[in-house]
Order: sequence, then structure tokens, then C-alpha cells
Amino acid sequence: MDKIREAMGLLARTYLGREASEEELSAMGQEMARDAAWIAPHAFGRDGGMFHLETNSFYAILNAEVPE
Amino acid sequence: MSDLDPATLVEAASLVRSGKVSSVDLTLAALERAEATHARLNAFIEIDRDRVLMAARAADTAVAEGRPLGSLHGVPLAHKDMYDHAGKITGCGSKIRAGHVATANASVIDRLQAAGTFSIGRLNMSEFAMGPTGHNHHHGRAINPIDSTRITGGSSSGSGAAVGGGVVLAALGSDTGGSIRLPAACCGVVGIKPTQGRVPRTGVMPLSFSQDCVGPLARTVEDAFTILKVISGPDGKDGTCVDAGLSPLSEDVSAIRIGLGGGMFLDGLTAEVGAAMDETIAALGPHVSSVSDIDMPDFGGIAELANVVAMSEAAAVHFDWMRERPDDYGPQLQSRLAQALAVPAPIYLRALQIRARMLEEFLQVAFAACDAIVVPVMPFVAPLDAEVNVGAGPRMNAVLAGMTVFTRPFSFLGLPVVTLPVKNSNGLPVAIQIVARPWREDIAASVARKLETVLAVGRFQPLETIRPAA
Repeated sequence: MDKIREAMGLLARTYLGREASEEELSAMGQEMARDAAWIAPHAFGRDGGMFHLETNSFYAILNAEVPE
Repeated sequence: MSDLDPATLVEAASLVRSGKVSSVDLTLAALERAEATHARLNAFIEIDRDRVLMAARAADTAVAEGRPLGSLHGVPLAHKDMYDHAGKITGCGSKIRAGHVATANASVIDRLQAAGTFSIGRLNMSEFAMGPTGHNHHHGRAINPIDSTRITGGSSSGSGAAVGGGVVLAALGSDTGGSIRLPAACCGVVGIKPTQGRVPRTGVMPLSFSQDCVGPLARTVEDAFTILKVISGPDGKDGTCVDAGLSPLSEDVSAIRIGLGGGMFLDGLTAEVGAAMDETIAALGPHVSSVSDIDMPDFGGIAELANVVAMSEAAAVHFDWMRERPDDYGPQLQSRLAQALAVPAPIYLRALQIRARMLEEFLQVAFAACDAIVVPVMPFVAPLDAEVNVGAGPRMNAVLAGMTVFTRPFSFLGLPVVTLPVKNSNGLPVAIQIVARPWREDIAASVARKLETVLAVGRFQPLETIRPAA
């Protein structure tokens, strides 16, 4: 946990040019834990499942639904 | 209802058009309500009496001279403090933008003005539209017009309070994860979150450019749909806005198949929300083609996915101020924006990839046998302020996620949603979401209007607990 806090503090110093507050460090650590649990191992990505998937595909799917 | 406090936008516009009521009198009545309720609702950040009366006088002159009139001519509204009005402050409910004067109107404001409306003031909101509870570190929270011990929901907190409190007939809100639907639900009014790309966002405060939607809160479905019609369609500036056409409302919903969203949308429902869902479906059944449970795809991680996209995009918008003026944010927003520093770029882009795949699957699976899906807005009625006023404390993320658990999925999927109060539960509203395929707001709204007629929930009145804002 200390190493995560150190890493979060380093990110803040590097990108924001200031020390992060306790609340910011806590929020950043929680964010990383959630994303590591839910997004990194997401089932859609198994076996290269998103290898050809561009992020803009979302709009193509949405716009294909525009009524004639 | 009196002529100076008409029940609907259509009625108000008709009164002005016919000369039965002047726009000035209608506007003075709205101003009086805004000022009289300010201590109780804290709905407004600024009330603009002088300028709005000039607009009302001009509207009356146009009627007297027989000039062409817009569909909502002479009707006073009010909007969330994030829509540019030329020469006026757009404060975004913040300290950082508190003095920012807009140089041009937002496209949606241009359109509402062309229709004949004007705004009586800037409505309170969560700071920079980030906060589903409606708390605001700088301006204080807007107060729920039904029960002052409960939240309005956010981030369009003032819009919910002003429309629910009877100050104006409709207001613009905005919705990135539930910010129209939650205040509509908590304050007992109708809200529409349109399809992603239906309404242009030129001149509108950005939060998360891939999920931000502009939409109305109003007392009735027809009024909300009327506002949506006025503001929809490309403006030639917002490249994400699509010319999709908007079919009219239909009285006949007998061919519409209703799907009941199960799965995660059944988790943790309180007894009153569960009962309201059952009663709503029973009431709707005779009027539609079918009502059936539907298969729902696996939504695992959708709250985290939507949050990663929203926070990453918000942090990009706010990056310079995060560096230069961190203490000018409220504590909760400062912490939430910092979260994005812990999101590596591949995780953000992965979330966008997953978004596309999830939408594709949802359209194929969930809408395979239905035209509209009904789910609750929240698992519970409007929470007590004391339950969710957590600032930047350790419960922050859990409370915020709990508020948006049923709304965020449809922001992430970009789908249109109409929110409607369906039950009066000991004086408090219970509300549902009616979700349609992309660009079919007309289907969701037609079902909502049928329910509005069948259920006849009516307007919510202040409970005895109502008291002036602290």
C-alpha cells in the first residue's frame, strides 16, 4: 500500500507540479484498484478480442441506427 | 393553476399568443416565485430581473404588432449555470469560472430564444456538473422542494428544485452519468437524456465530451419533449451532433413491446421502489403489445468503465486548473479530478473499446424482443442529505457510485432515456427510466406519456419537513 501511495504521489508531483493531498492520494489509489479489478481483465479482451476494435466504433454503431 | 401559473408550456405559450396574459405578467409571476422560494430552495445562483423583463416586454410588443411568433413565445424558463448567454456569466457552479462572461449564446440557448423563451436566471448545480448528490461547496446545495432533509440529486440540482418547486415550467439540465435523471427523480418531475449526439453542445460547459448530453427537465412528458424538439439537431459547429430526425409523440403505444430490465437493476431495490415497479408494469400492460423479462448482457464493470471515461476526459478539461488553482475547487471535486491521474492511457482507451462492444451486444441482446426497457432510476427514494453528504471522505466513491448505479450504464451506452415519476410513496416520488434504441426518444416518451396519463401521479407537494435552507 505504501508503494501505491508513493506512486500516486509521484504522479501528482510529476504532472501537477505539487504534492497531492491525503484525499487525492486516497481517491487515486481507489481508482487504480477498481480499474485493475474491472477493466484490465475485462472479458471482451480475452484472446485478442479487441485487437481490431477502434474506439470510434461506438459512434459507427450508434449512427447506423439513425432512422431512414 | 391560474393564468399566471399555467400547468404546461403549451398552455403558457397559448396564453401569451392569444393576448390573454402578457409575457411581462407571466415573467413577473415567475420572478416572484423565484425570489419567494430562494431561501427555501436555493435553486438560483443569480436571478436576472432587469434583463428578463426587457425580453418579456419585447415579446409583448411582438404579439401586439402581429409579428411571427416562436412556438414558446414569451415563456420564461431558467437553465443550469453552464449554458452560455452572450454578455452574461456562465459560472458552472464554481469559484474558478464565477466571473467568466460568455461572448456568444450556446446553440441550444439560441434555439430556445428563437422559439420565444428567455431565462430568468442561472440555476444552481454541482460544481462543474460533477456530483450526483447535488452538493455544492461554493453555493450550498439546492434544496429538495418536497422534503428539505433530502437531496435534490445532481448535478442539475437547481433545475430539479426550480421545476419541481413550481418556479418555472422547464429548465435545461445536462447529463453525463445521471445528472438530469437523478434530480428529475428526486424532485418528482420528468427528465429526458437524449441519445449521444442528438443535441449540440456548442457553448455548453464540457465535462466528459463523449458522454455529455443536453436535455430538459419539465413537469410533463409533452413539455420535456417539446423542449427536446426545439434544441435537437446539428448546428454546424459540434461535429458530434447527428441529423437524426425526431419522430413525434404517439398516443397509440399498443404496438410497443416493453422489456423489463432484470439483472443488476434488481439489486438492492427498496420495498417502495420494488412495489412502484410492479404497479407501473401492471398499469402499463393493457396499453402495450407485451411486457416481458428480457435477457440483459453482462454489465460487469460498467460503473468503473463509465467513470474512467468521465474522469479522464474531465481531468483533461481541468488539467491546467488542477495544476494552478487546486484549492479553488471544492474538496470532493479536487479529489475526483485527481483520480484520473491514476488512469493510464491504455485503460482509458480500453474503456472506449469496451464501450463499442458493449453497445453492440446490448442492442442485439437486450432489444432483441422489445422496443423499450423499463428500469428504476435509483434503488431507493431521494436520500437524506445526512446520508450522502460525504465530501471527499473515505465513503465518497461508494456513495457516488451508489447514486448512479442504474443511470451510468445508459450514459456509457449513449442511449436515450425518459425519466418519469410513477408513484407517490408517502409523499416522495419513485421514478423509472424508459430506455429506447438510439434516436428513438419518441418511443420512450410516448410510453412515458401513456404512463403519465394512466397513473395520474400528479404534482408533488412539499411535506411538513420542508424548511428554509441552512
